[in-house]
Amino acid sequence: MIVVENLTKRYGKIVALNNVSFTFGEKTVTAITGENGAGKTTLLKICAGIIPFDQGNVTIDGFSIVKNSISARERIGYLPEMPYMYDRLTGREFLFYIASLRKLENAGEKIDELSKLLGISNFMDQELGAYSKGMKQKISLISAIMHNPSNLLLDEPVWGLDPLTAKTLQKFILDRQGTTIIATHSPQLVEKVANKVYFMMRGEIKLSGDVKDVIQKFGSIEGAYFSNQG
Amino acid sequence: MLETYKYLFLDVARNFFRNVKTSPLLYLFFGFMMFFSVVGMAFITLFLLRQEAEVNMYQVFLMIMFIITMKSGVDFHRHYIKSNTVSYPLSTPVSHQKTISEIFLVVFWLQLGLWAFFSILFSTFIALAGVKLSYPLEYIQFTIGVMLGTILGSLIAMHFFSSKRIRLIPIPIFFLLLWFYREPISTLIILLLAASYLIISFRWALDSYQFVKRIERNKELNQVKIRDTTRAIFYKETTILWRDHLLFSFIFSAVTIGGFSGYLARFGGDSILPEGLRQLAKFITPAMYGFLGVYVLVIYTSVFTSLNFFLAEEDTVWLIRNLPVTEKTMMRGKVVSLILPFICSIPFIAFFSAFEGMSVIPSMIWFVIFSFMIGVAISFPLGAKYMGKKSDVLLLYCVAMILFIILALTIAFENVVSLYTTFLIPFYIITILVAFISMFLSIEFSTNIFKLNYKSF
Repeated sequence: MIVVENLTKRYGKIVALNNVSFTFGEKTVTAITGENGAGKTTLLKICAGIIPFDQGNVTIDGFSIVKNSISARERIGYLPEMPYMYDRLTGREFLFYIASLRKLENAGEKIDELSKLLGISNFMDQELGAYSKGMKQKISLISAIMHNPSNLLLDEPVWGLDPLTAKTLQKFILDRQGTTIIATHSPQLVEKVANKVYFMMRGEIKLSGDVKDVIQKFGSIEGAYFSNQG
Repeated sequence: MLETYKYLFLDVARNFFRNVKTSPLLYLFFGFMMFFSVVGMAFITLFLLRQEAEVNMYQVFLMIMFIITMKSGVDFHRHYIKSNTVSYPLSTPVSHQKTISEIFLVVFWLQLGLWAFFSILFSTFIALAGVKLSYPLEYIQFTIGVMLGTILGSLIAMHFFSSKRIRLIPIPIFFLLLWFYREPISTLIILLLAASYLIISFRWALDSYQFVKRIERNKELNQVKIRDTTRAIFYKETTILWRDHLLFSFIFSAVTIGGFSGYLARFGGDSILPEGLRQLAKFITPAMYGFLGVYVLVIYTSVFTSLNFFLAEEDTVWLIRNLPVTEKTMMRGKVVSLILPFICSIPFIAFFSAFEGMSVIPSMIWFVIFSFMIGVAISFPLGAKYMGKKSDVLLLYCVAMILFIILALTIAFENVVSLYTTFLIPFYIITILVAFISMFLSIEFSTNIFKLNYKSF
C-alpha cells in the first residue's frame, strides 16, 4: 500500500506536483494518465525513492520513503519509462547484480522462469548494449518483479514490447495481489488492467474514480481523457 | 563432398580480406614486419654463408617445425575447439570425424600456403644476392617439417582441450624420436606415425569440443551468482573495466609511463628534446620526471577511474536510488573496485626503477600509493556531486589541478624532511596514513553528498 500525502515537487519554477494526495490500495491496479508533463513519471520516481520532493509525505507499506528508505525500497519494484542499464553487462549478469543488491539468495530459478516467460532466455548471455529497446524493457521488467514486491510501479510498461509479451504482462498485472501503479498514455491498457484511474494535468488531479464508473460516464477512458483536457 | 572444408576456407579468406579492408594500416604494418623478418632471415643466411659458418640444417628444420606446431595448434583451436560456427556442421548427418578432418585440412593448407609464400620470398632474395643454394632439397625437408608441425600442433590442441589428456602422451614421444633420429627416413616414418595417430584421434575429437563448451558453461554459471553487496558492486565495476579493455590500458600506461619517465630520469630530457629546448631540460631533475610520471599515471588509473565510476552512472542513477542499498555501501563497493586499477599501476614502479636503480623503489612505492589514495579522496566527492549530470572535462581538469597542488606540496615537504634525515620510512608511513584517513573521510563526505536532499525533512 502506498500513501501519498500533500505532495509537492518543483523543478526550479515549474511545479511538477502541486499538493497532491493519493492512496494506492492493496490488490488494486491504479492507472495514472494525462498529458506529457502532467507529473506522472515524477510521482512514480518519488514513490520509488529516486528523486526527492519538496513538501508532503510518502509511505510504502507504512515505511516513510525518507526516514525508512531502505525498508520502503525493499517493498518496491520499479520499471522506468526508459530502461537504461549497464551496457557492458549481459542480461544475466545484470539481473544477478540486482538480485545480489536485493539479497535474493535463490534468484537464479526466478530469473530463469521470468526470462522464459518473457521470451528472452536465449539472449540472457548477450551484453545489454546489443539489446533492442523491447529486450531491455523485458530485462528491466524482470528486475522490477523478481523479488515479488508488494508495490509495483510501472512507467509506460508496454511501450516497446511485442504484442505477445504485452499480453503476458497484462495477465501478470491482473493476477497480482499487491499494489500496482501504472503511468501510461494508453487508454486501452487502462481499460484492460486497471481498477482505478487518475487523470492528471499540470501536477494536479483533474479526475479520478473506478475505471468502470469512468467508462460508464464518458463512454471510454479516451473519452474521459479528452473531456478533461483544458 | 568437403562442404565444411570449402565453407571454412571461404570464411577464412573472406575474413582475412575484410580485416585487411577495415584495418589497412595495421595489415600494411604487419605485412612490412613479415617481409622484413623474411628478408632479415635471408640476410642472416647470406652472412653465415659468406662467413662460411656451418649451419645445422636439422636445427633449422626443428625451429620451423616448432613455429608451425604452435601456429597450427592455435589455428585448430580457433577453427574447431573454440569455434562458434562449427556446431552447424556438427549437427548435420555428416560424421563428426569427416567434419573435423575437413577442418584439419583447412589448417593444413593454411600452414603450407604460408610456408610456400615465405619460402618463395626467402629464396627470391637469396637468388637475387647471387647465391647458389641447393634449396629444393631443403625445401622438401622443411615442408615435411611443416606437415609434421601441423599434425602435432592440431593433436596438441585436440587432446589438451579434452577430458582425457592422457592421449597427449604419444606427442612428446614423437618429439623425442625427432630429436634422436635426425635423418630424412626417420622423419618420414615419424610423419606417417603422427598422421596415423591423427586419423585415430579424429574419432575422439568431438570430446574436445564438448569439453570446452562444458567448461565455458560452468565458468559462466560460476561467475554469475549471488554475491554480498560489496562484492557484487566490485564484480560489476570490474567487469565493465575489463570489457572496456581499461585494465589492459592501465597496465600498458603503467609500463610505458614508467619506462619513459625512467628513461628521461636516467638519460635526461636532452636525449629526446630538440636542440632549442635542451637548455630547458637541464632544470628538470630526475626526481621531477618521477613525480610527473606518477602524476600522469594516477590521473588515469585513479582519478579517471574514480570519476568514471560515478559519471558512467549518468543514465542508471534510477537503479542505484531504487535499490535497497545504503549510499555508504554503494561508495564502499566503488572504492573496493579500485583495487584492480591500483594493482595495474604497480608495473610503473618496476619500469621506473629499472632505469633509476633499486634505491628509488621505497620512495616510488610510497609515492604511487599516496598519490593513488589522494586521487581517490579528491575524485569521490566531486564524482558523487556530479553523478547523474553530464560528464564534464572541466571536472577532470579541476581534480587534476587539485591533485597536482597536493602532490607537489607533499614532495616539497619530503624534500624538506630529507634535509634533516635520510631515514624517510616514518615519513612515508605517516603520509600514507594521512592519505588513508583523507580517503576514509572523503567517502563519508561523498556518502552525504550522494544522499537525496529532502528539503522538508
